[in-house]
Amino acid sequence: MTTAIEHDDRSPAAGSPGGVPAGARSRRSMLALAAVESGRLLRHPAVLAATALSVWLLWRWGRGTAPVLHYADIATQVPLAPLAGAALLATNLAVLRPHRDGAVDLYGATRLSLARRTLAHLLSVLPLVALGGILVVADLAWLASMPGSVGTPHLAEAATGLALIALGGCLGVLLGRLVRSVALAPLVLVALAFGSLTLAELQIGGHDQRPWTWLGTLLRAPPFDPPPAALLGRPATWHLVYLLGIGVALAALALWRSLAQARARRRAQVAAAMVLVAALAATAAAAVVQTRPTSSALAERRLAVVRNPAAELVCQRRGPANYCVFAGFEPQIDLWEPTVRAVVAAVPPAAAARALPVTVAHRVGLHRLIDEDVNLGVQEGQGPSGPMVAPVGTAWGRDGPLFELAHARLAASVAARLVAPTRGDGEEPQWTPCNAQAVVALWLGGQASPQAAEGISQAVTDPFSEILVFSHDPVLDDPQWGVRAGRFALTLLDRPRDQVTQTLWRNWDLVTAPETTIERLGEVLGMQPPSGADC
Amino acid sequence: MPAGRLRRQFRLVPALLVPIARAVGWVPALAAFALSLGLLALAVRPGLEIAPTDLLRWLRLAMIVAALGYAFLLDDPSGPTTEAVAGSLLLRRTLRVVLLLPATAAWWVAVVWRIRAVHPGLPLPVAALTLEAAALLAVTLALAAAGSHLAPERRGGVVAAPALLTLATAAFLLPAQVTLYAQPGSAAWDGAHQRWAMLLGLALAAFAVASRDPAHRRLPSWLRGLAHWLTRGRAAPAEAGRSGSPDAAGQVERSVG
Repeated sequence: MTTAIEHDDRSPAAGSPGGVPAGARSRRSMLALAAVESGRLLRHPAVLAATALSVWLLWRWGRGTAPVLHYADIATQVPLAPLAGAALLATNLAVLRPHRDGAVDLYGATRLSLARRTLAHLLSVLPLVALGGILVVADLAWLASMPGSVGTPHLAEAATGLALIALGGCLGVLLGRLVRSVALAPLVLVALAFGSLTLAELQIGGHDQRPWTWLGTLLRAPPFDPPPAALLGRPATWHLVYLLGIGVALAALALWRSLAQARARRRAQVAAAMVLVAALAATAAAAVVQTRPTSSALAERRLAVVRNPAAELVCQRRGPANYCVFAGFEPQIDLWEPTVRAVVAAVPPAAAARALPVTVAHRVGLHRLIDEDVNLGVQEGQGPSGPMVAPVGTAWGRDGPLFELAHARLAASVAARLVAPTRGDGEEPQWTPCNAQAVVALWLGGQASPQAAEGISQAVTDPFSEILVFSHDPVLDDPQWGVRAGRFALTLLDRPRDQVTQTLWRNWDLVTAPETTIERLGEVLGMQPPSGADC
Repeated sequence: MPAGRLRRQFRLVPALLVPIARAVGWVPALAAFALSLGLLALAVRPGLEIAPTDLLRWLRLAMIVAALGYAFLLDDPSGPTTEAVAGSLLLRRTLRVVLLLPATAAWWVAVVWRIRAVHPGLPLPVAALTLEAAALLAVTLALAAAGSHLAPERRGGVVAAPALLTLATAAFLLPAQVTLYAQPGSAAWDGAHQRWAMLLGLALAAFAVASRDPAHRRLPSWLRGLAHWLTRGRAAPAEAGRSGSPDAAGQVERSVG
């Protein structure tokens, strides 16, 4: 049977020789313990596994993308969550190690009080936070160096993942000081993860309709193409203050608990309590500010952009197209140009001359920030935005299902504008999604790049209905496509390109006429169209 | 295992039940079940529209929460002392699991009932999901049994809980070809459940191997030969004297270990 020995906060070894004050020696010992514990923390199997997982998640997100850095900084938060979880588990195990090893009484022979040991454990989390910082900086530097990278990372968004690691570490220490059971920390961790996921899901469903979801820890970026940073309206700085406030409060509570357990001097306990109160006040203030509804100025600006997207875009002419992009997104034009040129090159020069220049413009599904179900009747391009454009999102990359769909959307939209051009301002193009012109446009788009062909195949193979669009956030400018037309286009894409081009060019006016059916196109090409109902 | 020894082990069950029920740390397991049900009740509640894929994800997360309780089920600081008792380690650990089975069954029934009650029209593949839950619990037990060799005082939960969370996270990120968490009706569903069944078998085997009684560890053959050679002279009369009693044979076997 062991007997618990209550220690005074002052060092048991006070007054030893050397001329160094006891307080300084105790501080040095605490720092030495913090260094040892941080080394053990960094080598803990859970931390090693979480680090590997975090690196893999960061790499997977950034691989092949043309990043928008004010979204990429938000995307560092979820990959760092495993490190935060590992920090919680590993610090809790470290704090409880003396209890597991029966070494509690042995600490009485050292010059370290319980509060100093707690502080050492809290400080040991800092190198893990630094490791997270290195991962975030390396990730953002890697992404910034990629071709087509746009935007600027927000410091508070980039630091949120690090605050989560610190929060996890502080919570692990506190739980160890409150309950001497290693079973508690994993249960608390899964409860927190469950709660965070629930809140994150609720926010995705409601965005600005549920500002209280910011009381959670981890909130992903809205699930549509990144809009300009000024329109995002995430209270990132206040959320960081909120998380840091909770972290400091947990640390102060752990210290206060240690001081109280060790019956330390009243002054030290009061100091810890004051830090706790200050941290709680900062947390409460940040919680109130971050859960305020979106300001009316920002809401009006978003609505104006949704109603008339052209107003926020800057345009420049390059070759056969006018590119209209959000200010600061110009590097993305270089990434789209090869696709646009490849589509134009497959159109007879005379027909291209009638339709050019085609306008390629950013459309990002911003209306979902205002109303998830578009009940307000707002949708991008609904207002006086001029002639129909070929819409393109701000999410772009080399491979992956999402990016292939983006390639398909751009290529097929440009092709649709060439096949069915607008004759004048405000005039609707004559477009029939289930006739021959849709097949021709889809073939033009698919032959532009392997990614576009893959995107078309992906959408056609797994359609939600007989009419499809190449975007999860379709706008009025997005042409619609019949699934049967898509299947026919995929069959055409398997045939030699030159052979198809020659036949189409010879019969261009017929195959692009709105009334020409798929059956007639099949006769022209000498092919049997795929079976299926016309839409 | 010889049939005679197996019979002797089974005869010990009634005597072991009460001491083991006292030795088991019930709080983590029951707290995990309660937490699992509470979180599921929060995520799956009437009036909240939820997609079937999301529902299944919450259900699987609830399984992981409950499995955390099993991570601490085998924790036994008195292990080094009770090595010498007649019941083998595998028997004692199996009894711990058996004692928790009624609560586990009640938890699972409550989970299924909650989902059925909130979403009565949703087809829930109960048998396949029960297989997933059983395999997850078995993997946790295997981790706890293996962890008890690594952690001080046979507290395998210290190893098993973080390992379970790490493995569960990794399982959610597996590529489609080897996925474990497939969606009902998808092409990967049958393959994923074959993998779950295999995992269940492997985990039970690993649990049995990691729970081999330390008192029955066999010495290397050269060491056994040396021991036999050293003790031949003194042991021979004693062996001859005890040879009539089957219980004595068991004791000799234990003393060699």
